[in-house]
Amino acid sequence: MQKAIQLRQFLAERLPAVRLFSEAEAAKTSPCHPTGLPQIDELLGGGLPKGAITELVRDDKMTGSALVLCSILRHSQGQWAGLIDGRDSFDPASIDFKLSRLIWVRCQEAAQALKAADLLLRDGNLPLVILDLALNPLPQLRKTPSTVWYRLQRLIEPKSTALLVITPRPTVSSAKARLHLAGNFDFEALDQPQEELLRQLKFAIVNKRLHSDELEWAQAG
Amino acid sequence: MFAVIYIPDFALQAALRHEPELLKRPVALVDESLPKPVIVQLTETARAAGVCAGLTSTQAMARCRDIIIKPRSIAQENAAADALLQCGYLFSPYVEATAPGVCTLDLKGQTSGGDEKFGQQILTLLDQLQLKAQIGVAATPAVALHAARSASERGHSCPPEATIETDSPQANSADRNVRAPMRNALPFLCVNDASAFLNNLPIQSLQPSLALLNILDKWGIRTIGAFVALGKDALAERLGAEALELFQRASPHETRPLKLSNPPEVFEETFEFENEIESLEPLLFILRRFIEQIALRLTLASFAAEDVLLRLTLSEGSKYERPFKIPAPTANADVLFRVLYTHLENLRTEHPIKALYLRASPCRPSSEQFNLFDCTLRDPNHFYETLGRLTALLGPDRVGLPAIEPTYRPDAFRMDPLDFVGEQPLTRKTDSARSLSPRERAGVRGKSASKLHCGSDSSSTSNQCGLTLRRFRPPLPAQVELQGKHPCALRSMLFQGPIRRAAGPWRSSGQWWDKQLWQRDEWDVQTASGRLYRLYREHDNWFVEGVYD
Repeated sequence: MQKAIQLRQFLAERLPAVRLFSEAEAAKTSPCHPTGLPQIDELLGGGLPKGAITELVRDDKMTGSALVLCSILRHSQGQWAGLIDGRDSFDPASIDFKLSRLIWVRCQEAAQALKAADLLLRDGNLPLVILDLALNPLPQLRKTPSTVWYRLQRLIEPKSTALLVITPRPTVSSAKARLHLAGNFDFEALDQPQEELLRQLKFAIVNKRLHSDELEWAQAG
Repeated sequence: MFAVIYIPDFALQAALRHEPELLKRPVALVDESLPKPVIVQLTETARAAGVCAGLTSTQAMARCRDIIIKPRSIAQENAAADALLQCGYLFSPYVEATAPGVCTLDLKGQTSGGDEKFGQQILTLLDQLQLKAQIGVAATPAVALHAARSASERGHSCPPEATIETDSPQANSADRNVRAPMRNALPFLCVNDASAFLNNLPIQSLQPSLALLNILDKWGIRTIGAFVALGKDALAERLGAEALELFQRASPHETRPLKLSNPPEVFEETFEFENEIESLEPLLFILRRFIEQIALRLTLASFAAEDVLLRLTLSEGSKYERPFKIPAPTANADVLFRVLYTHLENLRTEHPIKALYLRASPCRPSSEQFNLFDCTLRDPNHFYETLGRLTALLGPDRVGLPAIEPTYRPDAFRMDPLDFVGEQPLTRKTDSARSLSPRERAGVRGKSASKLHCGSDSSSTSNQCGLTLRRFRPPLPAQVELQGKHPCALRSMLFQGPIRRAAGPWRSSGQWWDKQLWQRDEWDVQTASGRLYRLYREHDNWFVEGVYD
């Protein structure tokens, strides 16, 4: 134990720019689920935050949310993931890899999707859950009380699950980070490689809440 | 040394194993397979009320108004016999299923086979299995059986607070040769001097025929000692072969080889409800006891359950059967119960339930070494339960793993259930063309082939081209105006207005050999709003299949 403390002191003196974390701190401060999309990962500091909700807003004029969804699933294909499809719109044929670890939950309404999300988040087995409400009508989403989103936030907090919610309008009041998708493709995009299309996508972060401890770090830094 | 585990009133105990509270009430067991169904076994309370074996149900009810009549159940007796044998196998590898409710163990090679602690362990285990047993230990199987049968009588003949020392001068000769320090507390008897023990046993212990018993009674022969004193030759000469057989059974040194049997790897329980049930609570009540019993038996045999089969017999004769796959085999009663409970919570049967049957398929607890980068579910059983809840919420075809059907029909997929055991590492699809749209397949064959396979072969990058389709299920009906052969205007609930650009038609068809024939023309269009849709025409009807996003 004494040697470990001496080693930490030695490293702190030699490398003052490098922060040294204990294991618990490291686990707490770097819980991210990489998406494989550099634009998102850079904005969110490594990927989708675990134990928190990230909202991806795709308004009516923008295109590319399904592309992002498939890209994240492709990047997470070695791990279990859950896709709660709020409007039963996911096309399995659009994926060119085997979906043997993707739990697809096909819902018809936003209320069903939220109940399914509640169950999956309570379970806590899946490291990534995507709640896709992009095609759900706005009245359905407006009917969802904000307490539902806070409940989901409370459910996910103690777990190491990352929840990504895709919505047509800013909806998730308890989201730790809200991203706006800026992508608008024309007819030629139908023949372009998906990699190139993904590179063209732009994201803007409009809201990022920091936990109190992270805020301290940010202020100290 | 041999030990015999004896379950008195075995058929009755087997019938009441899942309702042990009834043992304190007047209960009689009727064998309905007899030409004249009569009571064969009964509880002490029923006996105290004047009921005895051989009476009919009506006669018994005349003597005791509150008596509960239970039918004899061979299935329950088999389950109890399996449990007894599995319990015996824990204490010796040489086990014989001597008779229903009687199990003989060969204790050779065991140093502490005959002590009270040994008996206590067996009795505690059987008590958990809801079986009240008596144990006898002796040098021969026959004497051990006599000891087991008389263990309770000796034990309970004393007041509860009494402790009889086997060496005490007040004890009779038989008591001096048995080791039962707390006979009143423990139905366990270890016989050291078999001759002295047998001498004082009543002649009925040998179970002679009624005729022979009458003769012996007239002769004044009432103990085994007096019977043996008559001599083998004299008995054979006067009473024949039966007396000779009894003489051999009464011999303290006559031993026999055991007919060894392996404990069955069957873990099942069955129960017939006295009254048909219509609600979940009584079913869960019995089911919980079933699960606890099976889990205990699995644990004792170092097994875990990998499959559970639930069968409900309905009042009109039909059966509802449902197998449950346990994702992570376990013998934990809570986990097994939760799996069943989640399903039964949403089960509705058309008729009341008459009987319940549960069987667990055993397997060895898995000890799997995962790869360094292998990700697995933290609690597969809990996840299985969550999927059950999701299925109950959304429907059976709404939750699962998506799998593409081997056909070119658009949007042909199925939902596979999770296979936790046969989970394989991810591989790329072998026939990726199956998942492509007609437009993409045309690209594969045509000039766009080079574009289509533009990515690297890494599994983390996409080889596909174009935007991803979000489907409308079912497709939305639309009206399309054509200019020449090309769509120029669209009218649907999504959009009404001119079409700016269109590409197609991408023709596809299939299954012309059966009734599921399909044939369609696909168009990719961009509306004036800038949105990209996929349209298709089938039998002169237009539909919006999805939106590119």
